[in-house]
Amino acid sequence: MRHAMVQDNLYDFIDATLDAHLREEISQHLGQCERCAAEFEKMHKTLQSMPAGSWDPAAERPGMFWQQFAEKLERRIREQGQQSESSIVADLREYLRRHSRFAAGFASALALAAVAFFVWTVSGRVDTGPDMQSSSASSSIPVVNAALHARAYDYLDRSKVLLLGFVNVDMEDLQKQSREISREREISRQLARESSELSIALRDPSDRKLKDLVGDLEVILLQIANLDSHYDSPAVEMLKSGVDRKAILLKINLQEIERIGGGNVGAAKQSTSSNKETNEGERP
Amino acid sequence: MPLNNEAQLIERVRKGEEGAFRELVECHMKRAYNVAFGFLGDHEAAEDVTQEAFINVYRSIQNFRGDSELGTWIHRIVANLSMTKLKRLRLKRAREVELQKTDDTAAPENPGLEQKENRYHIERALHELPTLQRAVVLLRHMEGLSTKQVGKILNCSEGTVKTHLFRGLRKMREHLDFLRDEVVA
Repeated sequence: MRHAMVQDNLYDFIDATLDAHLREEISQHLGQCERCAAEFEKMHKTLQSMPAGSWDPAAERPGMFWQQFAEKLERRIREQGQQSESSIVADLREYLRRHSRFAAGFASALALAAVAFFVWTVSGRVDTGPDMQSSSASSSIPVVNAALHARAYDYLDRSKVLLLGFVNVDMEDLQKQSREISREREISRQLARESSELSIALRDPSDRKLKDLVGDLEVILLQIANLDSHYDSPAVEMLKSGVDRKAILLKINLQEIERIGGGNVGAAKQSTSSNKETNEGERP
Repeated sequence: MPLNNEAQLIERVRKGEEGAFRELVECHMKRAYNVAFGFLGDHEAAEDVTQEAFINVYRSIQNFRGDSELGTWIHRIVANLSMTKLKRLRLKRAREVELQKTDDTAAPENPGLEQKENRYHIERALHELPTLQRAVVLLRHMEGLSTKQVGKILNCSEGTVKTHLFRGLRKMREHLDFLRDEVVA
């Protein structure tokens, strides 16, 4: 038997995971070969000196440390959640301050959404009262899903603000002042990262539309993130046509209406489907 | 923990049931800590990595497919985070300095300290190993996992685990011989 073969199997030999035949062969070889026997002895000694079950550095920490470990962890999770929320809010506030025109556009869009919601609520109450009751009675949505949806809608809100800025931009102004858009690109990058996380998390079949919208948005957001650092008219035009072609803003509005309306989405879908058709009819 | 109970616990955490995540943490925290300590050799760093690992667990539990046991999955997260931290902070050097200090204060003549001394030598030899060899020796021979489990954690075959084990143990023996000679001298 060759030395190399013995050495290759030495660990398994000590670990007693070799088949009987090979074990016997190695055993015989070790009886005749001093070099391999020395190697076996070294390995065996090393394994014997390993602390195995007695090795427990965790036991060196006081009991109080372990009692507070989970508590400390939960506090860290809460703090990280609050930090990411406050940094997003600060980003948006700063963004809206610097782009007051976008803020005006966003406010108009919100006003429109509020009007649409009011119209839908009134018609929904008349047509589908019992459905509303049943949906509120069965509002035992798991906490995790509720948190996921809250996160998704927050993401949609922020994406909408960003897109409204691009859709409403005045191309003539753009050509006159070559403005920096690094802030927009940064926000897009953040949102695109969230898109991929949300796409994975939204696994429930009932979230299919929301997931599709997140997927569409991810493409647009990546386009914005990859724009040149200054406004580039053809690229922005392409972006605008992409938003328009996929009716992204309309879909976001529909999702908002679904969120506000809870389970009673049928009426909302009906009332908005005609808008969608109009939007699609306007395609270039 | 029996697999059935484990699946139930995961489901409770996914549903956001109060106290379920804490139960999961308390069940796995000490072993996760030991693995982190084995890599980093520093209590503060081990605590930090273990906390970070459970934050990852909390955020990713929705995506846990159950292909491996929960403990194996947590070990994998801890091992990956520890290896990243090790690389970033170059704690190996800091550990050597710290061990040197410990060495000065230890009293090897005292027979009561024999076990402590042995652990000190083992840990020092372990920290001399390249990261992968350290990982397999630590998980297999200090944490007592099977070679199959180690392969799952480190995302490699059992054959690769055994190769690294063999090389790692051989190097450890050389270091241990050297360290013991050092003490005698």
